[in-house]
Amino acid sequence: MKKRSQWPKLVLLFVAMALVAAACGGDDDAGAGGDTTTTAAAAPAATTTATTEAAPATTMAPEPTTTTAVEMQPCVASIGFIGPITGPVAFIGEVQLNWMQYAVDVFNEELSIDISIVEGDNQFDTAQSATLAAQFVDNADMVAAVGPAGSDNVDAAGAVFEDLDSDFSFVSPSSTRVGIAATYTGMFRTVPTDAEQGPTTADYMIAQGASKVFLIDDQSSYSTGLADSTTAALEAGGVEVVTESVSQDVTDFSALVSTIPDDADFVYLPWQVAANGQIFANQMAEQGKTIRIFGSDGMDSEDFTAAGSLVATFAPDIAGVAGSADLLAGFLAEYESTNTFGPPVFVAAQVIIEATYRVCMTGATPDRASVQAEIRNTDLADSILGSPVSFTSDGDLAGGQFFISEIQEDGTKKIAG
Amino acid sequence: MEFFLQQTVNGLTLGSVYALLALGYSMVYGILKLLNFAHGEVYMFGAFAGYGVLTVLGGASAPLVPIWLMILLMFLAAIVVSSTIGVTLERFAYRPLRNSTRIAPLISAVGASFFLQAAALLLFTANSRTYDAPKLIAIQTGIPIGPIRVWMVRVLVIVTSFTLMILLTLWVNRTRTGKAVRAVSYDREAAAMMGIDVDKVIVVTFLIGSALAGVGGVMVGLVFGRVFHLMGFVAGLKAFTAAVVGGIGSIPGAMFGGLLIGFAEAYTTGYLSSTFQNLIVFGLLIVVLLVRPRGLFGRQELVKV
Amino acid sequence: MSDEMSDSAALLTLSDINTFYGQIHILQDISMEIRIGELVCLLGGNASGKSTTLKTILGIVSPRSGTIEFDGADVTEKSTSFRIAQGMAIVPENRRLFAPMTVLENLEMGAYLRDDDHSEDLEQVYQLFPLLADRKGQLAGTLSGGEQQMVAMGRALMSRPKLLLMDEPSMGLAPILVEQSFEIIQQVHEAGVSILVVEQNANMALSIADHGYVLATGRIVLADTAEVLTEHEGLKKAYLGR
Ligand SMILES: Nc1ncnc2c1ncn2[C@@H]1O[C@H](COP(=O)(O)OP(=O)(O)OP(=O)(O)O)[C@@H](O)[C@H]1O
Ligand SMILES: [Mg+2]
Repeated sequence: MKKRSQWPKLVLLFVAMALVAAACGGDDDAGAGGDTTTTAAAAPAATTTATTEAAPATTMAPEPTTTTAVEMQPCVASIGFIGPITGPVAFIGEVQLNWMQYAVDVFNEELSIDISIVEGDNQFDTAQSATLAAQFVDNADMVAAVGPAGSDNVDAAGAVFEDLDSDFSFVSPSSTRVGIAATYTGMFRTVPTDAEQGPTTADYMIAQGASKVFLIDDQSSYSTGLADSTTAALEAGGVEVVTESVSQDVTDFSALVSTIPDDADFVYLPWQVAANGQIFANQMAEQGKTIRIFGSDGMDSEDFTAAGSLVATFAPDIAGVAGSADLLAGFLAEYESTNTFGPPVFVAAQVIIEATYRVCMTGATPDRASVQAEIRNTDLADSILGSPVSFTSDGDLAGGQFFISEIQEDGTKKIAG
Repeated sequence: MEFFLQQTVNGLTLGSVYALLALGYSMVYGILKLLNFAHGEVYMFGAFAGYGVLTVLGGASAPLVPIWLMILLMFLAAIVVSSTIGVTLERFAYRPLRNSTRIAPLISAVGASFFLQAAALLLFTANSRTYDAPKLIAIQTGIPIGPIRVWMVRVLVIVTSFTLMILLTLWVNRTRTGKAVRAVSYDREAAAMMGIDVDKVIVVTFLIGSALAGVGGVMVGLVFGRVFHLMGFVAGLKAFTAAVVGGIGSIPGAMFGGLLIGFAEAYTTGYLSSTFQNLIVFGLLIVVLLVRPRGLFGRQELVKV
Repeated sequence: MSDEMSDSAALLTLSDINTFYGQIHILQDISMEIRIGELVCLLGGNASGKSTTLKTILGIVSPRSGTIEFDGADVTEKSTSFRIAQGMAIVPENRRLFAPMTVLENLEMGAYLRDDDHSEDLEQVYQLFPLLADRKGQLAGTLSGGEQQMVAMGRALMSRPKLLLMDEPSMGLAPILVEQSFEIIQQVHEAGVSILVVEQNANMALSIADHGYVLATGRIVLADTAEVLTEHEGLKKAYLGR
């Protein structure tokens, strides 16, 4: 009896330890290996302090029309942020929020205005997005919002905005579904649409001399849509496409890997779960398959690090954009790391802040309708992304394009086209 | 030939994991006539326990202990965690309802499944983790079989699960407790009349079934990589299908059913299309049930557990 | 013979037992006694509560009130395992063999609680039922009714019981087999095992019993020596078909 009474306690202790260990163990997403760009340590320490003030003096900020500013009342407004600050894709939300904060700090200082942020964590959950949208509409001080990330969440929030106040503008920094901006009056986005991704991807493969592509969709609407547009563009270019399909919930792709024809030039994976892409790459290596993997923007994550593979990104790695070096250094001085999801947030915030500023400059108090009208008038000659920013009548980014990066041995990405 | 061999290895790997899972499903059904919907979550917690040990001991890229010890400890942790959860479920979710209607424990099982999923979400967040086993055991290591090479991790998974299946078969047929499990499964009251402590036997059944699920969880982590809080759902569904195809309640049936589904998935993907994989697998289920309503090993074999 | 037996100590005593299934009151104030070495029969029509009495004795169902004493100790609150370890064994109604297990495995289940070597007892069972030795590897579910009855008896004997409870051992057997099995019951009894046998075949049961109890709708309506009961007019009409 005595002997027996001891072991349940031991077991409990064991269980507790193992589970705590699993809970504390780093997420894939937080892995130290694969930051998309350099970390703070890499930025020269001496220059960082100065950059914060120096940076906005570049082309991005509008010419301050100081003539009327003297008599004006202070330009005050609040901007919402909807993003996955916690939850399954917290690595996106955290970086996005950091860039949002950074943009507000930079422009508050530069334009001598007083913009504040209202944070909304949607946990990448559409129900949360809808709730947050309703709360934002209720907040009379709020002129517009940045977000949400992901087209499903845009749909959820967009329906509420449209319904309650179509003057409320929301600028998504990472929603790429085709046609979604046309659906909602107040929607704008600072990233290109999937309609651009398919052709960009296909063009790149064709330029590389591909004659056969093995394509696997992950059975989500994102994936099948992308698969269709890419296939169409590839076939138009005379490339043979072999199509397969596998659920996102599956983690054993070995049977599928075996069927990859040896004469294929690329394995195209328009997938949302980048960790699955890594497993796929491992299982290819296991079977000695050396064909290059080409991932869609969903695979642009620290979870996918197969060296030599290509990924499409809706924004460039701004470390490669010469004109953005100061802004990036300023950001990294304050926040640890960034990824491709960050800079489009800076642009989204910039668009809203400058629209608000322009309203203030006319002497009016910024409200939702006037800010929306000014957002429509956005015309940046250059941006942190290294390209101009203006919107089509639907609210899509005019002339948006995708970028293609190659994953390096150390996990970083280098622009390939 | 090479292609066939490769697909056979693929099917065997997947099938042996399904078989381990199906065993627990089937044993619990045999003894309680209960579909333990939380079985997939027990497996998921096993996978996380293995991940916890791996992380604490330095991770796959910088292990602090020899690799064999690491893997052994991962399996042990999974066995402890999973069987503890399994036994706890039995005690608090199923035993109080044992003499109520048949639907009540079923609903309790669904509830337990959701509860464990939510618990995992809170504990581990929704982010998926990867074991990164190729860093632990290089992808280039393996045993050549004809024209193909089988990765050591696959060899480990296949050998371990077949060893466990043989041990379980011996246990159930040769040991007193094993026989008691079979007796209780067949006729609980008659078993009690022999002096068998039915509660204890049911606990042992949950213990073993859950431990096997935990081992399966670590295996999946090692060979396929990704573990996440929802992984138990699909796995549980496949295990259930395997158990039903084999004849739910039958131990050899669960093993056979698991392997059959593994092979069916691999060959379907290989020779037809991955798009039809689930269609074929569940089609198989329907055909088997039409031809043999009690599954391949059900009743006729008279080997029930 | 019965006189000398009735002097021996009580092996099993039921006092004022009341057993319920849910709200249904099945056994009502049952008191009975089996002395060491006795063969007692419990008679009664369908649904009179005979099987329930055996299950109450064995602890499969618990009485709501009353006490059960076995071998000098109060076992009312004890588990079935405990009672079996103390020397009870049962041949259940309809035999209840483990059909998917072999004859040998079934016999082993009878010795489930014994940690010592029971190969000798196995030999004794095979002596009593030579046929089972040949069939030991056969699945119990594939045996004939008579063979199954032998396994059920053998299984109960494997625990070396002091008290053997038998629930309608003659049920479903051809007349010649009924006679044979009663001979075996007598053999077991003569070997020193006390027996409580439930029967609807009252003639046969009374012919080998020392005492008898008659149960009707959960109450004991008659209790006497087997001789007296055999001649009881009411019983003759009701159960003995004479
Ligand atoms: N598990 C149970 N739940 C509810 N009622 C029961 C249960 N078992 C028996 N009964 C009821 O208790 C009563 C007595 O049943 P019992 O089996 O003891 O009768 P019996 O004398 O053995 O009859 P038979 O000669 O038919 O075997 C019956 O009315 C029966 O329906
Ligand atoms: Mg009866």
